[in-house]
Amino acid sequence: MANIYQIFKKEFRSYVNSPAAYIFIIVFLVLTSWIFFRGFFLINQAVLRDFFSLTPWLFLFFIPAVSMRLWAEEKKLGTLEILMTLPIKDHEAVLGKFFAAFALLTVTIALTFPLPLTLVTISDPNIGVDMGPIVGGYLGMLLLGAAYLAIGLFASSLTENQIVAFIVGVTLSFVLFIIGEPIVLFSIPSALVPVFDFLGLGTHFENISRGVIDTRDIVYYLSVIAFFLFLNIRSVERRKWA
Amino acid sequence: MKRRAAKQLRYGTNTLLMIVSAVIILAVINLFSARHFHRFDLTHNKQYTLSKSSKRVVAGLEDLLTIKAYFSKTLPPYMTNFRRQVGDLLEEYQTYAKGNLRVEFIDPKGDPQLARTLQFQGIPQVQLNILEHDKYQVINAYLAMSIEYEDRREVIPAVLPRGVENLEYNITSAIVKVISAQVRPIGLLTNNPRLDLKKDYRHLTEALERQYSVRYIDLTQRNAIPRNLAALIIISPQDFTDRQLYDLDQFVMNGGKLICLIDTVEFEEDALNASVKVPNITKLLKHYGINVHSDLVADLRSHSMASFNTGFVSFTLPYPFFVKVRKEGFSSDSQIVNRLESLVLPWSSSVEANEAAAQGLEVARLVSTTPYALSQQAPFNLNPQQRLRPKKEDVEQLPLAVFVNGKFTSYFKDKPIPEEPTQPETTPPSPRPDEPQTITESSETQILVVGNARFVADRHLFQFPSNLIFMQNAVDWMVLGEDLIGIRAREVTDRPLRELSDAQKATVRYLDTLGASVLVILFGLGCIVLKRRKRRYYETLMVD
Repeated sequence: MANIYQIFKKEFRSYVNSPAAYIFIIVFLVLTSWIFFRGFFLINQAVLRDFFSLTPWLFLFFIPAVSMRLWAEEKKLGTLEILMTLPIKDHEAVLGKFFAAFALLTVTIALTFPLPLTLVTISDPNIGVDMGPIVGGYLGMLLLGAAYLAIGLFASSLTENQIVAFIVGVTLSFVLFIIGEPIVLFSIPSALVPVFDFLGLGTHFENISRGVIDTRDIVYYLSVIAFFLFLNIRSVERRKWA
Repeated sequence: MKRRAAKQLRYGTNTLLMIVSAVIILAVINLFSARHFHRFDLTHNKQYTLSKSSKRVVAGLEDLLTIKAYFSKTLPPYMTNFRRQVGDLLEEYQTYAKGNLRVEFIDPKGDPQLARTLQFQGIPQVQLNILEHDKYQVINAYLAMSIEYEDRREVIPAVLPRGVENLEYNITSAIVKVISAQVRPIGLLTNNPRLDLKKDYRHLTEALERQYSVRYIDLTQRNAIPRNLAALIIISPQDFTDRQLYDLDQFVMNGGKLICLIDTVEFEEDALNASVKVPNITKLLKHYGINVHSDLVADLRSHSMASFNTGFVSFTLPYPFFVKVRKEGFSSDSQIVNRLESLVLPWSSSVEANEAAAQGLEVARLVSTTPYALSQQAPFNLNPQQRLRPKKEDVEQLPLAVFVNGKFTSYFKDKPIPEEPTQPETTPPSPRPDEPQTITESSETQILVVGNARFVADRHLFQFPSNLIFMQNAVDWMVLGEDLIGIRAREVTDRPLRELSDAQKATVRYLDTLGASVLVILFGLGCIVLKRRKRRYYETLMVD
């Protein structure tokens, strides 16, 4: 536990000290708000659903960019060997890095707070805002983001080139996201539809962001996260016998 | 070298095995969670939670039920949200159907064969307004549902945003209808010699026959009312014998559902001659908690046109005695009427809950006039050309139909059972051995009373076809009610913003887009300043 925390602290601090993280956050915030506000006053509804429906797409690029560094850089600089000679277990290192990136993601998501705040202020006072879908949407964002992050982290462990890590991360996430979308579901044999629909990252997110917290969706996300973290651990271990 | 390759192979196989077992474990966990799940609906009005009744209905499906949603892909933008709501709701049904429910969204556009089939099934295209190129245009679109089970089909021809709060009710009632193989019998009853139900109420009968098997009940026969009757509709009755009243009472006590269309004013429509003639079933109804008044209601604010024939010419003019019920006049809590747009009650009497008798019962005013209605007592003046100028204190909102739900006590409780009139003088007044005991309290059942029977007679249905919907809804609710009770009308999910000026909108937009980013930048700058200070501090230490 203490080891995980040490890794977490080190990684998180390096985010805080790197201008890249700031640029990510600012680009993400400006982009989401800007796209959201293009339709907001037109639809004239005090709901954030359009904002949430953007996130699977934006996360697709944002999150691999956050995670691409985590292993690839260590490999490139050769610090991985140092890290692994320390009395730290592989899974502790993986979890520490994962939580650091997750903390950055949480901060980023938390920084979209002006949107719900705005909604409460400018909604019709007689009707108000339905907080249920907003709470659900944020929870969904965290889960979806964590799943993308686990994928991105795994991708980063495969290579020492950050660009390659980014591209692999985006591709893996995209594949796992798109298989549940109608565009794919329409073109596959109908027997496979339920399986693909279940495996898709986006369908579960849609459910949660409506304001319906379903234990199945949560179990699904936790499974995806666990699976890719497990792959990550195996891939870090690989150096022992490579 | 060789040893290294062997080691790699061993590790590789090992890893592969572990990955496969991880996949299997996770698959099992997910399968388990798919069976045992829980949903928390965080939305304000539990928008995505099906009522218990609907869950029970779909959970009880034994065979595959298919819901085909015929929705055009090109819908106006204001409809996309609605389409999503419909999809959400259907998905919820699917969740609880244990794999026995399939939902298909179909766009019939570009398939003329299908379009013809749909027309045959009674699914029309609806016209929608869209704003395009700064012009209002009308497009034709499909917004319908067809619910299919075995070889039967129920159709919801128009699923509109206006009715979205009733969608669950409509879908569940259609499912209930389509899965029940046996056709339920409905009784029609009148003892009015001036009426021929097969002729004067042909439209109503035909409409009911589409879903139910209609039986004509003749109370002069012994055991005339079948026990399995799903509902009994009494149309414009005259006096019953005591024994017949007893039979009716016992029908209700047995949990029978009663719809009474009562005329308390007898009437020659062409001559506009009216006189009070209260049928004795009102005694029974009064005991059950409903008073039918012997008046005629005129609504000064909302009435329909009526045609009159003087013998030489016929003329049409607005007529306050043709009460037109407005949207506000329908009880919004009742599934029978809250979807109705209009109902016209010609020469109707007011109906009121009898507070004393209705204690412990659930009473709903289904249909009311506007607050500007007048109750005219006998002698009636029904002249269409008169100017009604009532005093302010005489106008009020009057109820025209009342619905009572609950456990009723028998009118014949503590009274002797009336004898059958066949052999009045020979039989001593004692119950025959095979005579069942009087049931004194009913199980939970419903009674609906309207102070008018002619509103569903053919001659008025011709002019006011939507009156039929009221009757169909009422019968559906009474017959299928147990499956449908508890599906509440959902609140409107429209959540508009406050009116904002353009400047305010711009402020909101820029503040939200840039506000948080500015915070991030300030935080970053703060970090840099701190770091520099720290470095300088260390530098000064070193210098010292």
